[in-house]
Amino acid sequence: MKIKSIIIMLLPFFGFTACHSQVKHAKTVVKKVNGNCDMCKKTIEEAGTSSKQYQTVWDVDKKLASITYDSTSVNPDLVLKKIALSGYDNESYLAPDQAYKALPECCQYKRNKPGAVLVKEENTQDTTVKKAESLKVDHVAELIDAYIAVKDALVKTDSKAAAAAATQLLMKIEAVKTDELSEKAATVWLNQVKEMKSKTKAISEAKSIETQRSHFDELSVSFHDFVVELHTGVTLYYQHCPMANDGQGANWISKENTVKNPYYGNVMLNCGKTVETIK
Amino acid sequence: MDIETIFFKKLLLLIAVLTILFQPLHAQKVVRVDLYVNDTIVDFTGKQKRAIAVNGQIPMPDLVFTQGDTAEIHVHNLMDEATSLHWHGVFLPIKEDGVPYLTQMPIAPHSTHVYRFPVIQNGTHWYHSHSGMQEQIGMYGNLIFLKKTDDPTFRKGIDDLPEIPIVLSEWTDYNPDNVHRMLHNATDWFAFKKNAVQSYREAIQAKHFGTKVNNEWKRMLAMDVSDVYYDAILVNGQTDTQVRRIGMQDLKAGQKVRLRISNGGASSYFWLQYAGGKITVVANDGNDVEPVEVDRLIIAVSETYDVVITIPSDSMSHEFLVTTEDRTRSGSIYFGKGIKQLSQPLPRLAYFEGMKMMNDMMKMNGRLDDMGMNMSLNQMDMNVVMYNEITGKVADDDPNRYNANKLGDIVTLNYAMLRSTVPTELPKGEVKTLRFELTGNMNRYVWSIDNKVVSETDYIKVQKGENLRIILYNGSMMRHPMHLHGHDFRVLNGQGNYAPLKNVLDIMPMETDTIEFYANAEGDWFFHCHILYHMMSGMGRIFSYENQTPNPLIKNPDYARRKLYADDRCFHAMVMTDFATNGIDGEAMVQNTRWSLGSEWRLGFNDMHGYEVETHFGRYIGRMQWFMPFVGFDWRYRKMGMDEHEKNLFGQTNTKDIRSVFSIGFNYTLPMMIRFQAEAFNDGVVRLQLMREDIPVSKRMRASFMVNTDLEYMLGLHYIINRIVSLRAHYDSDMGFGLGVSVGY
Repeated sequence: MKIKSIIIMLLPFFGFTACHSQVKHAKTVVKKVNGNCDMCKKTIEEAGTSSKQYQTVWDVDKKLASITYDSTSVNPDLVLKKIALSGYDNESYLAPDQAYKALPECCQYKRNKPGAVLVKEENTQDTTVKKAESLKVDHVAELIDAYIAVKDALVKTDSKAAAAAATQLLMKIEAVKTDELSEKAATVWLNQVKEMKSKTKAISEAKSIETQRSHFDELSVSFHDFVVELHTGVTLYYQHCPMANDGQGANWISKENTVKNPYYGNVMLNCGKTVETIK
Repeated sequence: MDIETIFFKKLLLLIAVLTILFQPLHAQKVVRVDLYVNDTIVDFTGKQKRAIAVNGQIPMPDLVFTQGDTAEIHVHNLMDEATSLHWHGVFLPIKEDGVPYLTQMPIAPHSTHVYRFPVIQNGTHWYHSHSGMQEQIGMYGNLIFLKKTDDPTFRKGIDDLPEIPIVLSEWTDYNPDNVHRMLHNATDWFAFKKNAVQSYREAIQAKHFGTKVNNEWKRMLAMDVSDVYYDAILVNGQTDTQVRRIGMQDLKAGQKVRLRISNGGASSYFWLQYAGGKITVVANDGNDVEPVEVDRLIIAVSETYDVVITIPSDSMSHEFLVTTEDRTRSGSIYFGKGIKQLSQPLPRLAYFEGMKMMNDMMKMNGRLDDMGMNMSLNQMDMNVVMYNEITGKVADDDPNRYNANKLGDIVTLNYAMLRSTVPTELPKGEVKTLRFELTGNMNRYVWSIDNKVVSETDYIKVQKGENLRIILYNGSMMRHPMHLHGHDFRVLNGQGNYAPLKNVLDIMPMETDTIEFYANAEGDWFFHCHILYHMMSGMGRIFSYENQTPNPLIKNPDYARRKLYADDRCFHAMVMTDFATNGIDGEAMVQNTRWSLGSEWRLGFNDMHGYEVETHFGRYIGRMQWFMPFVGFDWRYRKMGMDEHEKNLFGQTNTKDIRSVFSIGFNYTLPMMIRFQAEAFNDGVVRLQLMREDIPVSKRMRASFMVNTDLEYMLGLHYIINRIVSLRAHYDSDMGFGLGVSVGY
């Protein structure tokens, strides 16, 4: 009888400890953690909880997280780091931009990062200076850039962007004047321009990325024949992927020596090599 | 004035001029360092473990000399075991190179050894123990040779930046000798710890069942980019540190900082990335390169990189993140003051994508097929198929979770982007070409060159004054950081006369790379894979100059060579036994590169179940080591009972009651990793057997089976509790159904 009553008396205590039983040597701190809504609450608490080691409860209104942790093995900073990696800025850590952007739209709270813009400011200044210097329109350079834009869209396996870039490229092809070219380049231009126009048009109208890529292969061959005669002073790289086109291989022109394959995009991004350096 | 005084005055003048000339050159400056090597106990993970500290610290102290100094390093070995120190990437006399039994005898316990060499180069190097596994447990440190300020190659804006040495390393709570033994016994415990077992259940969940079957059909174990699981990643000996100031100066917004990074890890490659922007690479392996801006780079085991980063802000610090290639662990160092801006961690590897890629590249005979892609210089990384941040395939439900296209823009460094700041062409003359194929066998953890380990080859003869060109092809399934002692080589990477100088070349599977160097330093120089466990398995060669003066530190060359060869001849033991309700099953094996001695036992609890011991001694043949002929001895005793098979499948009588016979036979690994065994006994009985153990059903569950022409069979399942203990249920045709505990070492 006695034992039974003691157990009954103790029961509430068991119940009480059960709530906190997971974390031993528990200590609790309260830290500021940014966020918006109940969805944020779920993410923050999931990131800030590891059974037996630490638990986090986040208050939506006060934007405060109370972190209970095992004081013998856990540093509360570790918990804040995990919360930041899930996308939420807090007292000790700022989330990586990528993690923040990956949050659902309703969760993208207003960030107030301290003075992180220094590098960007410098960059914008640089570009304005450059723009001021080169007011004269260089049709050939614009043509090359427009081609590169199509390539980059294909690298990203972005069919819509590729079509849009091809429309731009078509305009740039129209803009090229043969009297701005050397005699040799002009000859090649006149030989290739029809082919270039038709392939570019095909890319801009194609619905699937596969069709665009097969046209781009042919466009690149014509484009290469023209570009080698230019001698613009800008280094270009003629690159080749042996696996594209069902193993027949395909080429493209790039401004960088590193390979970013437009025929496979993300699947085999680095497949290929530079076969010719054009100066 | 008489002649004597004039002469005296002239002499004085001459002395004065000479003094002025030589003072800035530090020509005679001897810099002495004392290093005290001692055992210590560390706690990186909450467990106290043995490590080795030098001058009481891990990593070993940063050693800084200026070009032109003479380094004099007194090593006091206070331990009960021998040690040595190798000066990685340094040009020095052979007897100072620090490879025990090759360039010197080991530094005996409780003795002192002095290394003394003139510093004739500049750059970031490092130093480490070359004895056993000591490098894994603390014996690594930075070694920096500063440029003199009047050096013609001194680069303003780079060489005068505030700088900080960083040595990267990893920590395992297991004794590294045990790690080595486990690797040789094809343990999947490390994969288990990384959650990368790649079992059938996981394959089905990832819709890659066919990939897994194809993988096993081609006789491959689950693939990974690294062999060992580590418990912590250390940046200058800590998992997480903040650098607020360098010297006495606080870091300010806009300031550039040079990091001198060396990878002192025993077997880990590290990805380097910086939350504060791009990383500018300015030197590699202690040699200047033209600055090149990248988003990230991988630093191979034992490489060094000098990089410049910019501090973006006065009120925030930015994370420089160091992640192992397998992405299971990372270490952080924050630059600047204030709240910490984190870097986006690298997502987990997509293992089954990697497995699929490996299947495509693997031919049925175990060789690799590069599909005509002529890979070289890390330019084409096949592992990219496993990198979610590039491929954008995220296992999450929400397809828009990451903007993969944006991430595809990440610029990763490769060797073709390195360009020396000075011409590096070799002196005119004949070029001798050597070809090596890097070979290996993951299943048995044998790593070799041209399928031969160090002890199976002679030294490679080199003539002083000749140019050597080495063409390396990696035909193995792992990448290898190949390191040459005592020389820098130029890597032919399309930069012509400005090919970069290196002393470590990371070469990925199926790549072919060409390196060349001018042989100008007499001695016996080690050329080896710098992954500690590959080196200890014998992946290396020794370049030996002809007609060299004998090394005074090697008094007995024959003895020294035997000791040197002992490393890769070492036998590795394993024991596994099962205590079950129907008897005790088990096996014990000792194996090395080629030889195997193993014994299996099945002991029942009564005469009817019987007792049986089979012992085999064999040699593995061929590159893939699928074939092993052996001789054996078999003893059994049994009172026939429940499962009587007096005759085998071939109608031969098999007296099981008491039998003690010799045998010859062979093992052959079939597709699906099934071991076929054919054995003929001296009483004329022939037995054929098929068996497979450790079929990965799920992360913790393994299945096994055996069937033979004596009409015996066994089916089993075990559930892994921890590294040592499993629960096992099996049915054996001799002993019936049993439940028990299996214990393995």
